[in-house]
Amino acid sequence: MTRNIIQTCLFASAILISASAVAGSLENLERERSIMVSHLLDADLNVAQRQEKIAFSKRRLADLERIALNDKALKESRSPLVLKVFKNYEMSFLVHSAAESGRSMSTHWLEGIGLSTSDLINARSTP
Amino acid sequence: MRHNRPTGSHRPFMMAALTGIALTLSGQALASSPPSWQPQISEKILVLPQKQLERAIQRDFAASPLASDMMNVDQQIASEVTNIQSLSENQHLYEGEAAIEVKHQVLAAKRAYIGLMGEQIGMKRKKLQTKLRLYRHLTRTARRNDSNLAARREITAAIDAAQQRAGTVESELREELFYSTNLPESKFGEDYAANRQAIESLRSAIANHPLNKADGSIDAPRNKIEELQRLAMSVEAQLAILDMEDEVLGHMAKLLSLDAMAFAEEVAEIAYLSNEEAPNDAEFRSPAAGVQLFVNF
Repeated sequence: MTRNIIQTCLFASAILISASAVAGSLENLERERSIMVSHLLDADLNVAQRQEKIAFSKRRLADLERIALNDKALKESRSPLVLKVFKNYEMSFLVHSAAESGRSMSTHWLEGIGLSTSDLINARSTP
Repeated sequence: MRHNRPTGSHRPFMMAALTGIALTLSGQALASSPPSWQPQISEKILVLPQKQLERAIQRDFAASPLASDMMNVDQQIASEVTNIQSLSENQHLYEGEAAIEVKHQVLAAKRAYIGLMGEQIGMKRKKLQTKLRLYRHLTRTARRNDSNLAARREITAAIDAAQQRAGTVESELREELFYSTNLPESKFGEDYAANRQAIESLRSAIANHPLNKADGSIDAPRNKIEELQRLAMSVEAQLAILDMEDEVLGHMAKLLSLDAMAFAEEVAEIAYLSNEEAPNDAEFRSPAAGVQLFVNF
């Protein structure tokens, strides 16, 4: 009985510890990334507004990516989520990987999820 | 019949006396405890390169009582060697009893030399065994650290790869951000760039530091565990040499005992020859030889 309680406590503490290790830099990065994507997909914005919002978002995102890339606490983590984020560099670190590929961040993201420019043009021309 | 048993008033005095004796004896026991080396070194030395690690261990040993004792014995050995050499060189200058005395002194000096050498080998063995235990302990620690690291290795590798990729586009990214967003760089961005530049220059200075040059040979150890195993192996080799030195010392002692026996025979022969000049005891064994003693009385 006592052993079960200890095991449950250990299990719970392990989950909480790993959760706290993941939180922080990656969580902030993910929040800003979703804001940027929401701007990108927001149909109520005109081109200029979207450009402006994405520009602000991009600057913040660049800083947050640098913070996450240099977060030493993440190296101590054993979370599969952290591994997934860094393995999927193209989609996790949008600003840096877009600069690497020489494309705009929007194009980079859209191509990352499987939508090329020609796909989008074709989709528009389809009745 | 009266018994001389201690009374109640005497008991505290006896207890105090016994305690005093016990303390004195334990003090003597402590004072006569053999010198040793108990490494005071931290496990943090594992992060040091091989040469520095060895130096740190050597420094720790140099501060031990065993090291100072070894140095004293070394000095005594050196003085004995000088003594033996000077006596051997001047041996031909002496004659008679003086020559025998010199020979005796040479033998005594050689015996002292063998004794000191034996003591020195014992201390060397103690030092090497402690060093071996230390290396084995460090190897176990390194292995434990390594198994902990193995679980995180994949994440670390992924992070390192991402950092490297991001690092290659950092300067282009700064320019691109400046031109594309048409916004001033954030305070974090400025500080980040300045610190990054400082870190890069320091990293390159560390990489080019002469003390940080890795052993580039084909036979260089691949990791810390292998490095420590090789150090332990070299200590074991030194212990094997000590065993051989012990054997050499044993042969020396045997030769010295033969020399001493030859010397004893020589001294006995001289004593025998000198006794021949004195009245021969054998002559008095027959009654006829003693007649003069009686006749002249």
